[in-house]
Amino acid sequence: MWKLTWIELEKIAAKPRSYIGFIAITVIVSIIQLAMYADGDSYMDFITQSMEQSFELQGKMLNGNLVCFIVLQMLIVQIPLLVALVGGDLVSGEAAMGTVRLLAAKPISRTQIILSKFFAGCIYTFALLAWLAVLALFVSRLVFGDGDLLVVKSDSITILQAHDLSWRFACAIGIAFLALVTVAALSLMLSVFSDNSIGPIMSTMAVIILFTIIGTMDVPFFDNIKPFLFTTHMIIWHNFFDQPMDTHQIMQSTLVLLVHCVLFVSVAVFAFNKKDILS
Amino acid sequence: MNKLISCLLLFYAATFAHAQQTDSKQILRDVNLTFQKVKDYAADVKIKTDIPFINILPVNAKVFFKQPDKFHIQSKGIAILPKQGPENMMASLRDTLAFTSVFLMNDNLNGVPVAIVNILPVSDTSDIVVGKFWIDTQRHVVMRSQITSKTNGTVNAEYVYGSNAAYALPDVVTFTIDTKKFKMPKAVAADLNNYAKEKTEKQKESKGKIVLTFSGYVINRGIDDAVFKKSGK
Amino acid sequence: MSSHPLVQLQSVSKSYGNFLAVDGLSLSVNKGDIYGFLGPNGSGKSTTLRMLLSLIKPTSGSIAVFGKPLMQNRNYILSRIGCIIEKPDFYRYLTARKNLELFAKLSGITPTKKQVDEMLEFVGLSGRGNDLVKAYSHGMKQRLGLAQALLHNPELIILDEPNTGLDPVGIIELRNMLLHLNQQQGKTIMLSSHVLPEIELIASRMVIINKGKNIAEGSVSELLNSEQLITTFSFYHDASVASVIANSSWKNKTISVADDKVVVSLSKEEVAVFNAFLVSNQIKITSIESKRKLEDYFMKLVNSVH
Repeated sequence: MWKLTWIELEKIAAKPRSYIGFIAITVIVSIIQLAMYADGDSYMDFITQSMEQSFELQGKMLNGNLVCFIVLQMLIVQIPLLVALVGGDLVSGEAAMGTVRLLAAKPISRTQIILSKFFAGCIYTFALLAWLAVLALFVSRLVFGDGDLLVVKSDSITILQAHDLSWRFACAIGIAFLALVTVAALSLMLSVFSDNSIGPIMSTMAVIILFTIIGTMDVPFFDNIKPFLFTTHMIIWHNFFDQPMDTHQIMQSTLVLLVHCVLFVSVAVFAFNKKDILS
Repeated sequence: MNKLISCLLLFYAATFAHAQQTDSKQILRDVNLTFQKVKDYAADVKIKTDIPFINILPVNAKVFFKQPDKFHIQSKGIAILPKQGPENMMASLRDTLAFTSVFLMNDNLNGVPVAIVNILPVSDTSDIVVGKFWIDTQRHVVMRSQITSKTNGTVNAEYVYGSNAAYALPDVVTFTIDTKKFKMPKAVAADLNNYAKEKTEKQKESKGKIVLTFSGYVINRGIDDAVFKKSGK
Repeated sequence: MSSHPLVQLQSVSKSYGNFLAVDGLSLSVNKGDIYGFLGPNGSGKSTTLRMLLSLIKPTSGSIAVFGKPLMQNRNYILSRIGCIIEKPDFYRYLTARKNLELFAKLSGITPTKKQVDEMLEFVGLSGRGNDLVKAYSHGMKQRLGLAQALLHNPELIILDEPNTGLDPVGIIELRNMLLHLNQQQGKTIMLSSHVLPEIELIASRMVIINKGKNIAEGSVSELLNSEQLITTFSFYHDASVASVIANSSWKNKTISVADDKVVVSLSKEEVAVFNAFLVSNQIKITSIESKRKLEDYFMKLVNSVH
């Protein structure tokens, strides 16, 4: 299995489109860091102006941890697209290129083919996230220094101390990885049903956007559905920056994401096994 | 004999009443004199913030002061302080010409006899609307203050003194702040999937507390002006 | 020849909804055969080969390869098969060498650089191994496809229309390669085509299918070298030919007579004799064209599809 996964990784690494994600992340993070470097103080003044009417805020609010936190917000939309760009191509790309019939005629089971592609997709996703973490956290800390993190939500403000942040970021990245693996699994599943890459990629994004919209609508009809949508749990990484942390919610979301992951991969395996390779 | 004793008692009572200050100006002058003993000081301060909607652990910081009005808090992390700090309280009392003081009454606060003095700014442009002070007339220190300002509403503060009472430097200052008008700041990003949660008991309260605990005072040892240069956010 | 066929299909059918792509097809391929799989376009050749490679699941029937049922021994069987299905496609963004190494690993072997170089030389691509496949012509991809099918030294080679897109030189070279693989290395080859002459030149046994059904199966010599040839003698316009033939012993072998040609069913030996008969009756022959009955039948099949 690991040999197959390595082969899939070699294929991913050889495709130019695989580097779009890394380039995009580098550009976006650099732009944010540049903007914060140039105008971060006035940005913080804008954020905290209502607080400063009642309180005096002391300390370095604009620091590497805050910049990293701002960058991680990108996880909501941009990174899932970058993951889908590669995930959605894993099977349908082979079908479009015509290599899937050669692949399926080899002495490896179709289950192994799908699983090796899934694992390779996971490793790619991890690499993407690791790159994001390096740029967002380490480079930001290098440029802006360390400091406490000011987390502003619509109903509360949390200030987390600097020494308490590294493990939170590590956990947040970890659970974000699980969320993105779920996206990869979804795009892989859709890829099995298509003979071209555009379909699965666009479908994955459409599903994410639709579910996100349903998740944000304050309509009682959707309240019963929301807990079961994987997008509802994709931003659970945010909860690691709460004080106190709702570990029950985190565990619940982890479970939901895992279940979705297993479901998507199972459907992909089942469908690919049943499929007649006609391309 | 009984008449003589009664007269003597009355005389002493009157003398005692006269001995208790009723001159608000004098009371405040005494407080200022006490505080003028301090040319500068540095101290460690532990800042504990207990405000609805704000989650923050106690922060350790260092505070610096230099006469007449240089004040700086140096904290590694982010600290939330009341708009009207202890230095504001002393600053408001320093310029005796900027306000009119009125002696209200004598009272007892936590077993300590205090004089309650109101100050009313002379100028309409002053931010302070009214200030009320409970002053220990023995030690010439402020035990409690209630300052109402146009921008910050009413801020109540309680002062507990220890070994540095002679310099009017408190060990503990507790600020009680009205948070009814507090507006949440803009989030740095969209708050997706944040369900409208039930407010906790703490969040329903409209008052918050900030407790400053001072220790390790270093008084009149000299402090460089560079310490008071403001650093960025 | 072994008693068990290397490949055996028994009553294999494949339907897509109401459409029956393969209809109760039975055939067998013996070890050492070059087996021709003939049929017009849309006859079910590719579907059958895909079923053989487990790319498509049969609706009914059984397939056995190397004496074992296919579905239960899939990995074992496929590890001993090399194949090209329709046009050979590769990872365009990888070099030819990398493609070969990758597919060889999937077949269960890790080839050395030397093995890859030798294979590239064998198929006529030496010196082009480090080029990206996207720079390859169709003919080069076809060769690379053959290299991919052979690198893991399979016992059975399945080729689906391998001559498609090749120029005459390429066709000859491929033919020679296949003959070498069969005669020198003992490999069994199964190749499909809709071009009968090419199969005739190379195959030892063959099957003709149409509309998913087995029309004819057997050795090429049996099927194609039948005694009866349908021969057309064309000549200068001569109205007397009809009466000459009617009054001769050839009339029973005559299929049709016209003023400028006569079509007869003859053995190989009789062609020369009949030619002499016409010449002796002052009939000026312009051309003689012979077709085997089976070839004629196959051409009708092909033409009827078009």
